[in-house]
Amino acid sequence: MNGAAEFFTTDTAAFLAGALGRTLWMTLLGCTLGFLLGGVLALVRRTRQPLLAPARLLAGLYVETFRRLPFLVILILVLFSVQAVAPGLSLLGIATIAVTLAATAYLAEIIRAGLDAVPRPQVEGAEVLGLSALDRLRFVVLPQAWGVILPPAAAFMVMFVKDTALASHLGVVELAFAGKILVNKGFSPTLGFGAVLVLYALVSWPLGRAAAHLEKKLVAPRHR
Amino acid sequence: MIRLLALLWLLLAAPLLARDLAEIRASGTLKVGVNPNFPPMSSYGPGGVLQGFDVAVAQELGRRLGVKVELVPTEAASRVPFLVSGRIDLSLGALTITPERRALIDFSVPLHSESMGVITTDRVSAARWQELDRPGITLVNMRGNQSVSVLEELLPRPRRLLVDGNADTIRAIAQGRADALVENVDFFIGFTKNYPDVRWRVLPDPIFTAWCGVGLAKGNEPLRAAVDTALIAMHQDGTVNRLWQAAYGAAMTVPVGAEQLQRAASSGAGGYRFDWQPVLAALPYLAGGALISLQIALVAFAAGSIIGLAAALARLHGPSWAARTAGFYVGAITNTPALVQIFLLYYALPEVGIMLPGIVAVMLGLTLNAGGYLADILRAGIQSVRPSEMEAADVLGLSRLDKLRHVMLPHIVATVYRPLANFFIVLVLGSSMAALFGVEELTGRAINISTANLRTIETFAVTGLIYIALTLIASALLALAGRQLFRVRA
Amino acid sequence: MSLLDIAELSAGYGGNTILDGVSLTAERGDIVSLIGPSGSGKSTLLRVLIGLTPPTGGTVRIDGAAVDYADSAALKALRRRMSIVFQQFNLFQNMTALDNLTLAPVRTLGVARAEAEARGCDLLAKVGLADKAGAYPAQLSGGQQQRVAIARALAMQPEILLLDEVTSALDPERVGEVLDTIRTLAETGITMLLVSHEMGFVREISTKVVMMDAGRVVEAGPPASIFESPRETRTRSFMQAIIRH
Ligand SMILES: Nc1ncnc2c1ncn2[C@@H]1O[C@H](COP(=O)(O)OP(=O)(O)O)[C@@H](O)[C@H]1O
Ligand SMILES: [Mg+2]
Repeated sequence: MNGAAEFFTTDTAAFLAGALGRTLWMTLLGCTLGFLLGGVLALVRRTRQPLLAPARLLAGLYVETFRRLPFLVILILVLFSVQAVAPGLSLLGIATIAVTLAATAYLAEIIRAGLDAVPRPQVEGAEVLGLSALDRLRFVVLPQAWGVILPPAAAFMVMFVKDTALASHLGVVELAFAGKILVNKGFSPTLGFGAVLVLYALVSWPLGRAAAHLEKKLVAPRHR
Repeated sequence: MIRLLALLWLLLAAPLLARDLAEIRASGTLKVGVNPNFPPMSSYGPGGVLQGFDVAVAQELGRRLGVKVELVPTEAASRVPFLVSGRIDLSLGALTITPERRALIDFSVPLHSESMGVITTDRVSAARWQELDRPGITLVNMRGNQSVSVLEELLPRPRRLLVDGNADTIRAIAQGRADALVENVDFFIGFTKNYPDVRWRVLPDPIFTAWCGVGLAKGNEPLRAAVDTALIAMHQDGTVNRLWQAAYGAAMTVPVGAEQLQRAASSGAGGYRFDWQPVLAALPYLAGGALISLQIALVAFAAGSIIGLAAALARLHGPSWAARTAGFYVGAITNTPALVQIFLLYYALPEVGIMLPGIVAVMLGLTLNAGGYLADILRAGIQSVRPSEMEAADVLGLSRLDKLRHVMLPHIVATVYRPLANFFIVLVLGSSMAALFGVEELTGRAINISTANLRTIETFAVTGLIYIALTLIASALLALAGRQLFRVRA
Repeated sequence: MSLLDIAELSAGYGGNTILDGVSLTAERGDIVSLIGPSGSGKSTLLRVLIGLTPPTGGTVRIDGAAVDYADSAALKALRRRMSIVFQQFNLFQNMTALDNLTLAPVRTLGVARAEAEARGCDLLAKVGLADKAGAYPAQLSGGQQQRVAIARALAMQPEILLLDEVTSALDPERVGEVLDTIRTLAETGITMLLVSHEMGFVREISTKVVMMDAGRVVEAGPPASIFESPRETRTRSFMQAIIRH
C-alpha cells in the first residue's frame, strides 16, 4: 500500500487540482446556464396571456419534474439520451448538461419567489404610467427582486458544488472520482477521501460565507 | 421537456447513429472504448496516459485500418449503450460474446479467451469452486459483467455483493465484505497487490471458458469485415499473443484457436428501438426498491432530527465547548458532499477495523449529513420564539410545560415545518446515492436491471417517474399532516 | 360633449359584482369627488377607469370616443391622458424621487432625459420638494412620498387625474400639506376625480360630489346640495355617521 509520503507530491496535487477545476467548471457553467434558463421559465410562468397557457403549463411541469428526480437519475438519463443528439460530447459536457437541467428547475423556483416578492402595487404603479411589460420588468421588478433572488441562488450554487460529486458515477474525473482513483491506486482511503473532503470544504466554506455576506448586504434596508 | 425531445430524437435518428467504415475513414479517427480502471487491460499510467493490452490492440487495429485511434474511457456497464448510440465505434474491455448482447450489438471474431476461476483468501475453506456453493459465503461481482447471470446458475446458494469497479471487487474481499470473486483470474489478480497483508489464494480448476470479441454497432458490415480481417491477421502473425504476454507477463490460459476464427453471419439492420417490456416486467422489483429508498430516507430523517436538535440546542444554549463542537460539526457536514462522507465511512472505517455493510454506511452517512442540515433548520425554529411572548407567559405564571406547548411550539412548528418537509424530499432523492454502495434501493435496482436488460433509457425513464410519484405522494401527505395536525400550510 | 362620460359601467371580481351600472360625467376642469362608505366600490371605479381592473359592461368615453379596455394600444393611449395616485403612493422603492418622475416620460413619451429631468425638478419644486430629488422613498415621510407620487402622475401631463384616498395613509399632521398640493393643482384647471373622506375639503374644492353605495351612484350634484339638502336617505345617514365623529 502506498504511504503518505507518496501522497503529498506535486503529481497528486496537480491531479487533484485538475479534478477540482472540473468540479468548479461543472458547477459554474451549469448553474450560470441554469440561472438564465430558470429565469426564462420563471418569466414564462408569470405571463397571463391565454395564448401562452401551454407554455406556462410546460414550464411548470418542467420545474416540478426536475425537482423530483435524484441528480444521479438525471445524470444517467442525460448520459444515455443526450449522446444521441451529440455523440461527440465529452463526459464533462454531459455532466454539465445534467447540472444545467437540474439547476434550471431549482433556480426557476428561486427566481419566481424573488419576482413574486416585489409587491403588486409596485407593478401597478408602473403599469398605470404606461410602461411596457419589458420596461416594468427591467426598471421596477428586477431591481427590487435581485436582493431576494441572489442570496438563495448563490447558496444553491454553493450547495451544487457538492452535488456534482455524483458525476463521478459517469466517470468524470472531478474531485470525488479523483479520490476514488487515488484510493484504487493503493493510497489509504482515509488519506484519499480525507484530502478530497478538505478540498471541498476549502471551496465551499468561503463561498458559503460570501453568499451569507451577500444576503446581509442585499436584504438590508434600502437607505444609501 | 428537453429530455423528452432528446428521447424523440433518439427514436427518430437512431438508425443513423453509428458511423460506418467510410465515415470513420473520412474522419481519420476510430473511437475505441476501453475501461480506464482495468489493469492490465487498460488503465491510466504515468502522465495520465492510457496503457495496457486493450490499448495496444486498439492502436494496432487503428494502424491496420489506416486511421488514428481515439480512446474513449468506458465503464463496463456503458459499453453496449455507447456502441448503440455511436459514441464509440468499437468496444474493447473484455466484452464477452453472449446471445443477449448479440441482440443489441455485433461482435468481431474473438480477441481473447476468458477463463473463469476463483480468487479468495485463506479465510475461506474451499479447495474447489464447487465447495463455494453454500450459504454463509458472499460472492462479489461487478455490475454489467456477464458472469453475474452465469454464476447465479452455477453457484445459486451464496449471497451476492455487486460493486461498480474492478478494484472494488478485490477491495471488498480484502476488507471482509465478501469471500470470493468468481471471474477471469487474469483480469483481477493484479489488484491483490494493493493488499499485501491479505493471504490471497487462487483455486486451481477453471470453471469454464468464454470468448471476448470486439463489439460494434449492429448492421455495420464493412466495419466488421475490416476488423475481422485485421484480427485474424493479428492472431496468425502472433501479434495478439505477443501483446498479451507483454501486458500479463504470461500466456493466455486458453489460446484462441483457428476454429474460433470463423466470421459470423450478417446480423441484419442496426439502430435502437425502444422496448419497454423488460422494465415494465420489472415494475414490482422497482417498487420494492422504492420502499427501501423511503426507509433509508425515514431513518436518516428521524435519527438526523435527534442529532440536529441536540446540535441546535448545543449551539444556542450549551456551554461554549459544546457550542463550538456543534458549530464545527454543522460546518463540516454542510460544506462537504454527502457522497464523499459516505465514501469515508464505507472505505476508510475498515482501516480501523470497523466494517459497515453498504446499507448501514449509507444510512449512517445520510443521518450524520441530515443532522447538520436539520440543526440549521431547527435552530432557526427555536430562534423564532419571541422573547416578549415568553416574558408575557412568565408574567401570567404559566408552567414550563404550558409555555413549551402554547408559546414556544406553535412558533417553532410554523417556522420549521415547511423546511423540514422539503428536506425530507431532499433525503428521498439523496437516498439514491446508496446505489453506489451496492444497496438495492430504487436506483440500485434500476442500475441492476438496466445492466442486465441493456435498456438504460427505458429503465431510468420509468425509475424517474417512480421518484416523481413517490415524492408527490410524500409532499401531499406532509402537507395534509401539516394542515390537520399543526395548522400550518406546507 | 363631456370630457369624461361613464355610462352603466360594471365590474367585479370572480363573479362578485362590485360596480353595478355606474354612470357619471365630468366636464373639462371639473373636480368630481367620490364619497361613500368603505367597500362601496370607489377604488374599483378608479381602477377600472385606469385599466387595472377589466370592466364587465358599460362604456367609458373620453371626448366622445369609447375606450377599448381589451386593447393594449388603446390602454397605452388612455394612460397618456389619464393618471392615478394611489392611497399607498406606490413609488418605485428602487429609484430616487427624481427617477420616479422621469422613468415614464423617457420610456413611454420619448422625452429626452435632460428635458424630463428639468421638468421633474420643476414638478418637485411645485409640490415643495425641490431638495428631495435624490432621496429614495424610504427616506421620505408619508406626506412627502405622496407629494412625489402626485408629481409623478403629473409628469405624464394628464388631462384627467384620479386620486384615491391620497391622505388616508398619512399621519394627521401630514394631511394638510398634501391637501394644499391638491388645492394648488385644482387652480391649474386640470380635471380631477378624487376619493376622499375629508368632507370639509371635499365640500370646499369640488364642483361635483358623487355619493356611492354598494357599487351604485346614490346621488350626484353640486357640493352644496349634497351636503345641505341630500335627497336620498342613504346619503343623509352617511353624512350623519361621518359628522358624529
Ligand atoms: N382584488 C379584489 N378581489 C376581490 N374583491 C375585491 C378586490 N378589491 C376589492 N374587492 C371588493 O370590492 C368591493 C369594493 O371595494 P373598493 O372598490 O375598494 O371599495 P371602496 O374603495 O369604496 O372602499 C369590496 O367589497 C372589496 O372587498
Ligand atoms: Mg378604497
